[in-house]
Amino acid sequence: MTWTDEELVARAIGGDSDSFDELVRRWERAIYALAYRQIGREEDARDVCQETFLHAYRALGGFRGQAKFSSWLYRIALNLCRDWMRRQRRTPVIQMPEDLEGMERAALREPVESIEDRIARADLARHVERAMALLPEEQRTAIVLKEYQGLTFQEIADLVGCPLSTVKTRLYQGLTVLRRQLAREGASAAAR
Amino acid sequence: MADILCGYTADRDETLIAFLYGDIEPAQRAAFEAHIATCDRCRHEVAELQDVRERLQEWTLDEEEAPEAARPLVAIGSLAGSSRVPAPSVESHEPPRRRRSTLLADLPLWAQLAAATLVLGVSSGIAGLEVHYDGSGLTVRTGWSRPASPPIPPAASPAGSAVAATNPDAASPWKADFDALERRMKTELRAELHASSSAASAVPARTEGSTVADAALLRKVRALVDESERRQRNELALRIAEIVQEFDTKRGTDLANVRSMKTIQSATGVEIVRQQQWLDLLTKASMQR
Repeated sequence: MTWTDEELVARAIGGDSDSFDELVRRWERAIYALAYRQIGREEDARDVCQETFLHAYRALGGFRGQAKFSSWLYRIALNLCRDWMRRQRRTPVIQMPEDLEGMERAALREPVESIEDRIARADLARHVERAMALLPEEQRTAIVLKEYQGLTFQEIADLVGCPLSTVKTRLYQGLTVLRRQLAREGASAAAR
Repeated sequence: MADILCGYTADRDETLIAFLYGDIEPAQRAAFEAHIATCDRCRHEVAELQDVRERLQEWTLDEEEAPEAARPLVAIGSLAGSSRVPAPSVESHEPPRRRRSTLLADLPLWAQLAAATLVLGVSSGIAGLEVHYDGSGLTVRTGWSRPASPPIPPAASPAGSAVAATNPDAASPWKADFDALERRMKTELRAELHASSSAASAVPARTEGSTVADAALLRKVRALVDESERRQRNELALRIAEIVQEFDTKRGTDLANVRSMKTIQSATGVEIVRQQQWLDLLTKASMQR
């Protein structure tokens, strides 16, 4: 039988520790992806991911079910990301392994496509990652939640605590900045 | 394109985004579709932003990264058990790295001990640590001080391979030693526990007894680690002394060689001078004639 998130929360509050483990298994990827795309460092994203579930576990008794469990979890993760960025006092850092360049990174992937395609894909992903890192935090958050976490406009508005129109405006501004930035990177890459 | 005028009267940017993501009221969608049919600027911008969205999908994370992220927390409920700590405010946090040690400190002693034993076992396996604990006392030896043993030939006898397949200890001899040590330590600790509980029978010592046993086991593990570190330090010092001795020997040999070269050079110089003198005499004699 598959329990819903809210049912698992209720069981975990009742003392069933396996239920909370199931919630972690269910949401760890999404939370890690959110944290990584927000702060751009693997190690710190892992820390934030762990902290998110730790906070959730500690505050589980206070979860009233007014919002979805995932929204509650996202809010904790976003708060932790924001704290991390405040502590760092800088924009996200794009972390690339020092010893791995495009070809090597691409070669590490499963051999389901040609090496040229893999290199090109890794290169494009790096461009996107860099461009995203340059966005203001609000715009980046809106894009990450919409594009990668698949939330609705209303869910994003509830999560970040702003009007619906503001979410759309941030998305518009963010996508517009990305368009320019990617065009610039494409032009400089073509020049190389 | 940005300089082309757009006559859309409503909130253009918001509508464009809603249209782009398909999250828009039907009436508003119809109106905007009618608009972009005649507005080059909006049509072009929708196409460009759609292209950006497609580019964004190229930023994928490696699938294998994510499971590691919170994997240590999969068993968080099991580890913390009923001793759930009071919930702090979600808005106030310490730095994550400090929190990780707090999490470790929250674990019961047996869990910390199990983790320490696991780390010790894995480390000793990697370092080739060999631990013997028998009647002659405790012996800890690293892979560095052990003579290299010949590799097991791949075509071992069927019986041997069967043993290796069914008994993983045969493939890792340190594990057997470690298990033997663990059994012996458990036996000793049980004896100690029994003695202490019988000595203090008035005390309801289930918890205290296990705490004493845990502490004693922890002390022994620490002693093992300390002994290993001391042995490695000694070996390092010995190796350094050997290197210094080799260096001195080599230096002495080089100095002797240099001295013999000087002697040869000196002898050659004397011979050259003598030859020159003979040449001068021959020249003078030939001139006199």
